[in-house]
Amino acid sequence: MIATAAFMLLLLSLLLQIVGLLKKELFFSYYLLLTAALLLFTATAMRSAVIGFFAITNSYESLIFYAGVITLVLFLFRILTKVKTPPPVSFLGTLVAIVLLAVASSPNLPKEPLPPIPALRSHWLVLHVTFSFIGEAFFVLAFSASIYYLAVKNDRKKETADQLIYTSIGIGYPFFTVGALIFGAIWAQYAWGSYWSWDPKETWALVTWIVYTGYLHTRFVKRMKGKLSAILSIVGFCFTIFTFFGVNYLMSGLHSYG
Amino acid sequence: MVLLILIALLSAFSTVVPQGNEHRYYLARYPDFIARLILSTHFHRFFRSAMFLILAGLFFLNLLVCATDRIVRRAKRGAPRRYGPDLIHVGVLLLMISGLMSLTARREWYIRLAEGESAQLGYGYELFLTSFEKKTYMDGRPREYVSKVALLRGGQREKTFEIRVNRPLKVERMRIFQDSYSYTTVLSLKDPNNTRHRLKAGESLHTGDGYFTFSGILPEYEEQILRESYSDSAEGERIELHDPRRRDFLLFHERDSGGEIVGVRLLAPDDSISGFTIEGVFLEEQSGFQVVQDKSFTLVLISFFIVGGGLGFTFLQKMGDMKK
Repeated sequence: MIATAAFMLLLLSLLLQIVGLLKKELFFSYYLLLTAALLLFTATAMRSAVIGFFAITNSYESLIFYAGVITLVLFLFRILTKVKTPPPVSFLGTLVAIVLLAVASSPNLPKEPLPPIPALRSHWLVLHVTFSFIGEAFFVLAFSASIYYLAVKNDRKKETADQLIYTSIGIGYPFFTVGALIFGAIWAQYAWGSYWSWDPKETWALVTWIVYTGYLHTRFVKRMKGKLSAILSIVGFCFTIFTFFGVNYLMSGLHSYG
Repeated sequence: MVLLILIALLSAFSTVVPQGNEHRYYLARYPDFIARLILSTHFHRFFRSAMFLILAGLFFLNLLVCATDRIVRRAKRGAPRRYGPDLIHVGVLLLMISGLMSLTARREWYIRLAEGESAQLGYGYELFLTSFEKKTYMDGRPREYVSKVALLRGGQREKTFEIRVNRPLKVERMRIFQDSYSYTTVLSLKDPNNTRHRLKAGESLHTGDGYFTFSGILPEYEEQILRESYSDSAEGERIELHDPRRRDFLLFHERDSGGEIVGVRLLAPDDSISGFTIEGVFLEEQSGFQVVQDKSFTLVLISFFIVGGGLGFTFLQKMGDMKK
């Protein structure tokens, strides 16, 4: 119910952002993002109270949390940062959050709040999932800015987009590394007795990490900017999505928790 | 960079090919040419294959040279102290060394114990299972598996511990994980002298001129028998198997003293074999443990700490740069 309300608010924000893109920007639309984020976090908190554990142990709960972090990041980058997110980037980011919530509402995803099975009852798991999604939320912003970069012709706009891609990957990368790889490995060690099993999800998370490492490396060492960097960021985002959905539904492994 | 791309591409591709199966699986699943290609390149065990190990080795050397070169050059130039990337490189190198250690020196094995049973662990330790409890939620889903164990050394109790999922027991260089639980079939037999014997599935009893092995319940009956037994048994109790229709469902292999099979028999409770009478059949709950000996984990933790520190340093430095 609360997640549905958040979904409606996001839709409203998206409509207002379209109006903003066509006519005059309505800042109110971004505060709707904040409200939606708070509602999504409330939904997570309430589910957590019901199941007696942090509610991020299945796909539905993860998507709610992920969408919440994305909308919060979009709001912060639009309202609070020095270099403001261009409206089309916020629009694309909002669209991604809406799509994720639409997927969460799919009848194929069980929504009943169920307490976790023994392997998932670990604080390391909570750290693993939350940090990974915080990192990936920044990658959503980088992805939106990359699309914007490729779409615009104006050099100043390109420069702003490039800076935004770099900043968001720069922030998201440490979160993703620590969450997906380090905390994930520690949890795996406690749960399965092996910190790395080359399970498909682990392998794809590593491949995703290599892509973003490649982005930062080419940026730091080769000073590479522009089209290729933007494409790398888009590839990285596609891999995060595949790691989350593709591996869950196409491959079996240790992470098959639904 | 080319190496990293190659490693990433091959690793991603390896997830499409199911890993670790027997040769016949690939021969049955894929066209002959593809199956032979997979098997000859060891792509079915990609992360242990020469292909992967050589690429990883080259990447290790590459990173080692780059990291050393970077540190030396910056020190010579008196460049600003930016330790973040260096720490990340050192951390990744250590992680790769840990991976190699784990690949070559890791040992793992599995133990199944019923309550009151024990097993040798190594280093003079013995693991004794005091009790095993399956906690469930209201809807019947599993909540927790708890094995209360005692650690014995030289017959003396050294320590008691509750092994749970996510809460292993550490003994010397071994970690003991709660892995699974299962039921095993146990026979109660009486010999001609009226002495009682317990025989688990897979165990043997010696007779005058050979021995016989209780090979378990016939697979086609197993599920049905388990279901019938569960339906009227309280959880946690030793479950007696019912046999209302006198089906012969207990499989035995009789062997001579040289180990050659001389007979295969299907029996039911109250039947006899080599002078032993089957008194009863029980299902006994067993707790499953995974014992892991892997020296690399401490180094892994150190590597993680260094990588994490490097990321933190880099992040703060870049934030500082942006403010300037």
